[in-house]
Amino acid sequence: MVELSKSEEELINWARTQVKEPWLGIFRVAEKITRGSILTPEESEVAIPLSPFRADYRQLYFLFRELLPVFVFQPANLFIIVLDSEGKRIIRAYLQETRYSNFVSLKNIELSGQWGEKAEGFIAADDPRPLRDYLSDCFRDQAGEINWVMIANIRLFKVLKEILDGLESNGGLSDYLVNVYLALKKIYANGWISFSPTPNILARLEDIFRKDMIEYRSSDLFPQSYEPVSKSDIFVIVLRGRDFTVALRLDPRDPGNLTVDKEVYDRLDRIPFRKLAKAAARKTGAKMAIALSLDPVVNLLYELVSRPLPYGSDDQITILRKLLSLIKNFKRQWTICPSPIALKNYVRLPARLLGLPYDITNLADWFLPQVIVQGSGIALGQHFRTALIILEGTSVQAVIILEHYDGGLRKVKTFPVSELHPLFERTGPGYRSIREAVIKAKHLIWEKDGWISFAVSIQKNLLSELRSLLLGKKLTSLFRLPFAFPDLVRIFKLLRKGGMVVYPDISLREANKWVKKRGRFWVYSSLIQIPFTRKRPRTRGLLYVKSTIIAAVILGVIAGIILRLAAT
Amino acid sequence: MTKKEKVAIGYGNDRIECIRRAFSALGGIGRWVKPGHRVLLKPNIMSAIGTPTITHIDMLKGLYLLCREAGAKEVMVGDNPVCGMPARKHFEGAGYTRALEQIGCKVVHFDEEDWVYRYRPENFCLKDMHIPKAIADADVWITVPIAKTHEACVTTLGIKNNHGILPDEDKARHHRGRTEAGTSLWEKFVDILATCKPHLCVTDMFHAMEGQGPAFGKILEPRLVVASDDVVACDTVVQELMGIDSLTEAPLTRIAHQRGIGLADMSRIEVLGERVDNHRRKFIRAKWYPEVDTPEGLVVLAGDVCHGGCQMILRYLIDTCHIALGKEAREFGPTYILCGDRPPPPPEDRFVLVFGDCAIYSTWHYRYRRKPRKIGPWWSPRPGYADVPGCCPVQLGWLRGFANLLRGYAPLVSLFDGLEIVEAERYSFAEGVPLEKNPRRWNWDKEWARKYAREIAASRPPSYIYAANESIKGNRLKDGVRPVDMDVAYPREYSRIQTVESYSLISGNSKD
Ligand code: SF4
Repeated sequence: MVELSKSEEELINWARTQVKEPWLGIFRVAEKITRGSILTPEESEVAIPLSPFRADYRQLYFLFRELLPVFVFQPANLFIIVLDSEGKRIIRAYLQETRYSNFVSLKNIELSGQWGEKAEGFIAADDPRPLRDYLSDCFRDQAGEINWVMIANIRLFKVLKEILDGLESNGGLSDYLVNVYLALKKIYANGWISFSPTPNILARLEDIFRKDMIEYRSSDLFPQSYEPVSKSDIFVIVLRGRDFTVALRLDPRDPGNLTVDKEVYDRLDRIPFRKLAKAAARKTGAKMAIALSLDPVVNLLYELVSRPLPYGSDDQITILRKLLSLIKNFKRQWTICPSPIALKNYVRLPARLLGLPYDITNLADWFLPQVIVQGSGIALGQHFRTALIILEGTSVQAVIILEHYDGGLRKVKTFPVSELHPLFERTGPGYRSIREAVIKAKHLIWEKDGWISFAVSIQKNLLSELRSLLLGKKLTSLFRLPFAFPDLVRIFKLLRKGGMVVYPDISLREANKWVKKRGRFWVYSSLIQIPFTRKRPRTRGLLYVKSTIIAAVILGVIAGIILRLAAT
Repeated sequence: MTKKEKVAIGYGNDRIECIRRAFSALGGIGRWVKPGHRVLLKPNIMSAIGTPTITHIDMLKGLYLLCREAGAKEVMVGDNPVCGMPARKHFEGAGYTRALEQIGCKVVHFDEEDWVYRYRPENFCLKDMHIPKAIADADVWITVPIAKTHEACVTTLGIKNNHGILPDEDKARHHRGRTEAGTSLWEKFVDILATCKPHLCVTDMFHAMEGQGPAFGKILEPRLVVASDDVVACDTVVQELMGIDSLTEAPLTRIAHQRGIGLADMSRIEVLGERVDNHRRKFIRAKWYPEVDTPEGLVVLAGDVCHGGCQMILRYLIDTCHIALGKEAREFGPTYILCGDRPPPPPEDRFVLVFGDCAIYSTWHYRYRRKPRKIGPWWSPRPGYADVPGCCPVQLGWLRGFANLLRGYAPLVSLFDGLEIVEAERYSFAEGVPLEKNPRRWNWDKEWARKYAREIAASRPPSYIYAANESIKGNRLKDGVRPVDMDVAYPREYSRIQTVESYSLISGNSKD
């Protein structure tokens, strides 16, 4: 055994209890499930290491099976090497065996023998590929092929410990995420972890942290600027795989508990896909439920995690194509409960008669991605920085700068709110004064942090109004629709009072003028045709004849029914 | 051979740093800007969207700071970017107006200011022109282009950036490439340079554009600024960095060099600061020919099309519609575009866009015109073709014509009708006006005019056919008229020009 310093010893002991033990706990449950044992909910509940989450592993088992190949690799044997704080000596080594998509064991590897010295030589030469081949040769009799190698510096555990300590001291989910971000930043900046080959998800993390895509300082934001999406509503996401159904419940009151009871999902298993969301919402008492077919989701996730960040325009087109194809397959690949009114047939038919022929199942997924990606390049430019200023009245809550380059989001960073406070503090209410302050803020950021192409300010209460309108039930049925009007009026008023200000706004103002001049209906009816594929009429001239005849027949039938009713 | 011209390259993490490095290599901006001077910066603000389409504002800020440090009394920024589009909207749309005013620059919209007449008889084609008074009055004027590839000139740099100092009325002249008839867009750019040469050229190459420039290319990040007091030498070094030969491939530097207006021979240029070899990369060139690489849904039938005329504008149309037409092609089949002199006849007589005067007048006997098929709703049919008149159709009227043709069939294209939101309230030069006022090919190509005399005569007063060559228009300012006020037509009128039915009438009566 290698001699360790006192602090190293402490860290190793901490890692044993806080990381290795929960991890082994998961293995034990996984092993039982693989063997076909029937587990009680207590037996199958596991804590996810280094996180506040607990989960029913019977459900995670299926998700791991489907998602591991996408995020990591086809499950494979992993050799873990822990280095001393100097990054030179190997102080611990483990072999994690995985078989048939399941973790099988986590073995300690003895450091005696020749392999350690040779491996240290490879590590010093920063040459991970021969290291993997060499370890495979050395340990073939114990585990077969070694598919990937993880090299971690012991200091990594210190950073992980800080995350967990932070979690215990304040416990908020947002604080936890911030701590994770800061820890990852530190780990990647110091090169305390490396993989060979690098799994997809870790390669993306490397992209984010090595290319400095996120620059966050908690001191830049107004304290208490975070809020959960909703404090009381439960949301359920049901995922249906080829041979299983998994339901994830997102409950803001209990963010640690991710999954629903086994009984509930056992019953969901037998429900046809079309009715899955409705059934899940009823059975879990959720305000909103979304059911997704797992195959297209896995496909989309693969596109997301397998491409280097930031995404180039071709990547974006492919990703958008997959996303739109998923959206297009409404009721086949996804359903929602309660379903928005716009998707209901009794609304679509009259809209069609009025010349608004929208149909989500005819979404032009082959055409729209180009329009969105290349069109935004033409309309907004290829390199632009946007400052997003979140306001609460006249107090600045957060300033986030988004930098786009060649169609992709290249950087997200925060800007100190204290710098902009004086500009907004002095403004009165109303659109004009907020607009003036936004212009001044844009110029101030230009001076301190580089040119800002667009500045957008949004009031927090506008966001909450929009959230309650969209997530509420008012837009889900014709009878409830009138109740949405007061909300719409409030939103409209907020907008007029500077709820959202964009600068430069000349194009918006001119476009608005043009829309008014041309007629809103003409513009909207033209716009609504763009995202949907129309069937090609046999001859072009018949296009109008056909639609006119259909409209005349339908209107005739409606008129006939009305006359009939009037007569009786 | 002794080195003659000095060009400096600055490299850095931001534009202001690059500018400082470039000028310190050149010996400081104080060599040109003296205390009390009035300096004018002429960026390329061809649209409201940001870099690399337009010069970045940090270039202007960097130069402003240097000029102020050198003791300049006033620094102005001005441009008159695209025909028919007001400079004010571009500056405001890009957010530059308030920002520049805040740092102390004065923004000059050339199209709203006074003009000065300039006459230079030794020019190739544009022998007289109007230039902004602000430039004439400035002690030093600096052109600040951004490095981009270009669909008609290979690159658009310092020489090409000078087009933005003319009023629209002069911009529309010689916007074609019939050198045999004494008119050429390339020669015209060099004519402008010869008449009004900037004191300094500072090229923004921090970002650059390759591919379908000047508007639809791809962004690159070389992080450079190139500066010199010889515009041609500056363009030559930038082209060298772009992997383009200035004496063979790039027409503007070649012509300027041959005419002795600047130096485009790299062996006679001394490069200061960064080494060219460390930063050279081969930029993807813009596609020139209209019929090459057209998007799905667009079939270009080209006759004899001239460079810088219909060739360039049609490329704009193709690139603008690149993403808008795929869907319509699947739904309604292709749209045919006829352009140039005597293009092949379209296989279908519907959805035909006739682009430019050459195509309009040389296809009068084609079936699509003699017996036009009707498109549109049965209660309001319209001919299956639309004309885009002009030689060349410089203004965005071509998109309007296209939108008119596909009205009701291509929703995305019909939204181009909204172009009026970026256009000037009034057109300020001849291309947007009714046919009889238009300086056209018959003005300079007598053979052609004789051949199509009947059609031309039918559409406009015969006395105009052999009108004097448009090269010398004379000083329009004599009687107090501003160039931007001449030949005015309203966009509304232009949107009504779809077909010239009189051609069809003539062809119907014709036996020979
Ligand atoms: S109309 Fe003919 S001469 Fe005029 S620009 Fe077009 S192709 Fe050239």
